[in-house]
Amino acid sequence: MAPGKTKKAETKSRSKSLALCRRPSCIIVVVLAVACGVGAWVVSDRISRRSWIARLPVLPDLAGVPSARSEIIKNTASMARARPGSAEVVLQLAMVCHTNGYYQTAVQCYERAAQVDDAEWRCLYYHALLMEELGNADVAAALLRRVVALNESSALCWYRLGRAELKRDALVEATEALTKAERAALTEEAAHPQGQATGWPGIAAYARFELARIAFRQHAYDRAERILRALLNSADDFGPARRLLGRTYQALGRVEEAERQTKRAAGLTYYVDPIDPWLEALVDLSRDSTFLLKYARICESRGQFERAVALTRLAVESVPDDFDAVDQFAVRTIRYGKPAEALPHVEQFLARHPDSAAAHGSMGVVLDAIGRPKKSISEFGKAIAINPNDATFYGNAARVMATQKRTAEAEQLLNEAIARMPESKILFWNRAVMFRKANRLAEACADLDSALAIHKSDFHIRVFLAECLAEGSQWDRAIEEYKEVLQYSPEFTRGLGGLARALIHQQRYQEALEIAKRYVEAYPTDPMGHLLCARAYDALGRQDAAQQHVNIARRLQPGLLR
Amino acid sequence: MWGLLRRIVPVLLLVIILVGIPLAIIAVQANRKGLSSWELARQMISRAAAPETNPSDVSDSILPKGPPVDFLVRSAIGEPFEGNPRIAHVLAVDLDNDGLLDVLACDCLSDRVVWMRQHKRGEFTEIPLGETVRAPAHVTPSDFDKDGDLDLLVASMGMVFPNNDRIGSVVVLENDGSMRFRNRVLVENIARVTDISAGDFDGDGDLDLAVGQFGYDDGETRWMENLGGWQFRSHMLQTLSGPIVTEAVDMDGDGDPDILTLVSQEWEEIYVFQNDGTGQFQPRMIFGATNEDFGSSWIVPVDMDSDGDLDVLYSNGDAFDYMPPRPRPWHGVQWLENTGDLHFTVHRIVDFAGASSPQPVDLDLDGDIDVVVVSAYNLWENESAQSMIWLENNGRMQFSRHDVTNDPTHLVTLTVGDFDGDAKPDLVTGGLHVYPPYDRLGRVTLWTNRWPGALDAPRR
Repeated sequence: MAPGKTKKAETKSRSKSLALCRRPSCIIVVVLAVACGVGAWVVSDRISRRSWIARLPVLPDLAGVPSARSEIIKNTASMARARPGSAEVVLQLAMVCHTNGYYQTAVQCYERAAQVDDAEWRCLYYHALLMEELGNADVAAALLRRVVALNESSALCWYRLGRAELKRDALVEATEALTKAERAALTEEAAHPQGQATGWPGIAAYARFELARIAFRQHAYDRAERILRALLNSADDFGPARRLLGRTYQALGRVEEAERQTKRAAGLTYYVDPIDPWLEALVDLSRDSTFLLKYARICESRGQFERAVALTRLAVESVPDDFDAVDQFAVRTIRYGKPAEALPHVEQFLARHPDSAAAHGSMGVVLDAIGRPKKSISEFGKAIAINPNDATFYGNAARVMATQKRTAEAEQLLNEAIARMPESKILFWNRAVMFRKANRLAEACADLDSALAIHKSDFHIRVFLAECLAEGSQWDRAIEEYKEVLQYSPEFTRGLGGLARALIHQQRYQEALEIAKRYVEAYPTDPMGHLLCARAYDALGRQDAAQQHVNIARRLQPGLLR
Repeated sequence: MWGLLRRIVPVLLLVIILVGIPLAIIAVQANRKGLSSWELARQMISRAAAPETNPSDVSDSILPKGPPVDFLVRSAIGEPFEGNPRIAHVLAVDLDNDGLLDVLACDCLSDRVVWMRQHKRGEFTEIPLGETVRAPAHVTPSDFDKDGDLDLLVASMGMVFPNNDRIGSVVVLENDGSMRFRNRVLVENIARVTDISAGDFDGDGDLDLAVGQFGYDDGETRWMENLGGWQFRSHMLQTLSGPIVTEAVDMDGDGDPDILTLVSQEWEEIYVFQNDGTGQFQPRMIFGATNEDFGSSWIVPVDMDSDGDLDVLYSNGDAFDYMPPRPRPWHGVQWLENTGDLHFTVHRIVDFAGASSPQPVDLDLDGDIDVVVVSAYNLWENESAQSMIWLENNGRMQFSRHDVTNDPTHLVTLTVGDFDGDAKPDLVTGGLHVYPPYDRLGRVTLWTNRWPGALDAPRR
């Protein structure tokens, strides 16, 4: 095309356009169109938002609910109302309602969030967790099947599905899901070896445990045993697995092995859910003290002590009038060496509830822990004055008095406590501690026997009894008790050391040597084991071997035998 | 032609602008918001958008709430008590067959099974039966030796508080016919026994026993074959910890007794041990919760929907494994509908903290089965926390909740019977006060039904 012709054509076209624009009807049409468009946009936006808000469930009645809980619900609800089309925000509201005990609302929100984004598997997952809490394994399994379809590489999701199927008695489906969970977990562990460094069994171990349960249910005891032994090789302290192994041996008629496993399991934890980062996120949104205290306890069972304290703190801050939260915060902070942190919470509770005997009791415990025994005893006195029937106050007051060398008063209080609660092994234990300190070993042993009569399989009482017997020179009985202790915990240092010493004292050197060797095998860097070996070898006339162990002990702890 | 086009094009443009653009915008909006265009357009046309609701005007309650119950009149029965009562089980039974209903109670404070004999209408005298039984958890009357009087099967836990020792025993209080009872210990030094029931499992004409042993870590479920002459042979059915209810009942309707068990602890499962009529059992799990903290507390086999088969009324509210015990938000009552071939569908009835011992009873005499349930572990510091509620059935298996009482607290057990002979079911509750507060104590309490409705005129 020639340049001149082009220019002419452009000029003609432009003038035509200008002419069109000049026409008033066209301008009106354009303005109208724009106005209609904007209007339609605004109206539809407003209506659709209202429609979405209308689809959000109505919030529960929050009147009288502790402010921390009502605030987090209201705030999250406001966010959801501002962005009702966001699956993330609606899911957040669902989680907040769930973890604060408003199940019906939470279910509606989970369903809504899943409608908004049907690829967001977390909506289904948390919904499944809620149905699990309500005991509805059928619905939980149905939801989890959808979860694994969306997130098929997650070991945790497969594991939860397997468990739900197991509870539905769908053993084939459960086996399939748990096998996939195990495989996925091993893949995850291989990809992130550092991610599993919690010390708590991972999903692979849990999946194996459930597979063993299935084998047990199917009476395939040999298979159950194989799975459990392999599992315990990698997770020695996994209590439920060891307990199930005991039952498996029992079913196989291997009575001694069954008893051994059962005793070993006695000191181990009960079934505790595996670590689940998504569940942790849910717990963080809770301001419900019941929920928080439950998970604090679970964390404590897993050895996650800081998390346990943090959740208990959140519980007490969320519901300051919940005495259980206050008391458990006190107990946990004392246990983890930070009792001063509990003091203001107990003080505030007491200021609001001055007639609470339990609160005075709790204050007594905290004051004792922070080194104010006199004030502590005074608080226990107040608790007893308010409620003279609660044996705990007498027992705790006695414990503190004993530390103040007010032994006679302490003994009197413990007698009062035991009279009120004769089935409490703790009270007998406390009195035994006091007797032992006063070198009244026969009475200490008698009290520990009483405690054992209440709870024969209590490992700690048995250890204490064995030590008191040894101190009281009742060597033969001490040896029997130490042997019993080692049935419960074969590598327990105080058990191994105590038994070896008692055997040496009874001149049963060969037996002592065997035990000392077990000690060394279990704890090769502990000089105590080597010293016991040395004593046994020496007594057996093998001075060279004895000297070798002495040398090792010296190397491990220079200056030990100076 | 051109002229026609010149006239039509602006009109078309106008139509496109006025209709097309809004439609396009609606489509974009609908897409952005996740609604269909039709939905959005319909709302625009009908202005049907719901008004924004006040977020605090509806509660999260799962059930409609009816008025509180005022027709149950409370009276304590049995001996006056000192200290904190510990009644683990109560049962309505006419033990002496005198036509007046009595109450049996397991008293864990005195370690006795006691008989609250109604010797005259409305007057009860408490009589301890047999010798002591350590921590009696459950009593079941049965003419076990077939001599024409009721003997008592007593589950002895040895200790109510958690304990893994083998301190349980199976005890029969044998009635000599003149209401004197002799303790016969059938087996002892076993995991803590929580329930016993009798049935002829092997079809040999005598009664055998189904025994649930809670234990702690190591529980068991067994049946004890009666060999005659008070000799028994134990057959282990399961070695799970936590059985708390063991019922001999024909769940599959084949004419022989099966064993229905509730296993709590970390299992939270319900089993039917299906009997082939000769004492060979096949376990079938009919319910399981993955929530190891579900708190299973009680089951009762009952035809809830009156369709001719046995359903299971089931409560979860146990919180005794924590000290102090605290209720959980998932505590409540449900019924498992028998849909045939030992398949069951769960129907949640109510959320109720600490729910225990739900009993099917037509309390308002309208022909359908209501439920009364007590609570052992509610938040007692809260004055409004109920220890007993009535779940009224509207005849379509829909329930409404009525509060009954908050005093006494810590009610763990409930039984039903017509104690005053007026053809209206009365209730008896037992209190297990093992943790504070101890301000509303009750041992054994009779709740006499003064329902005002006429007996022959059902309300619906």
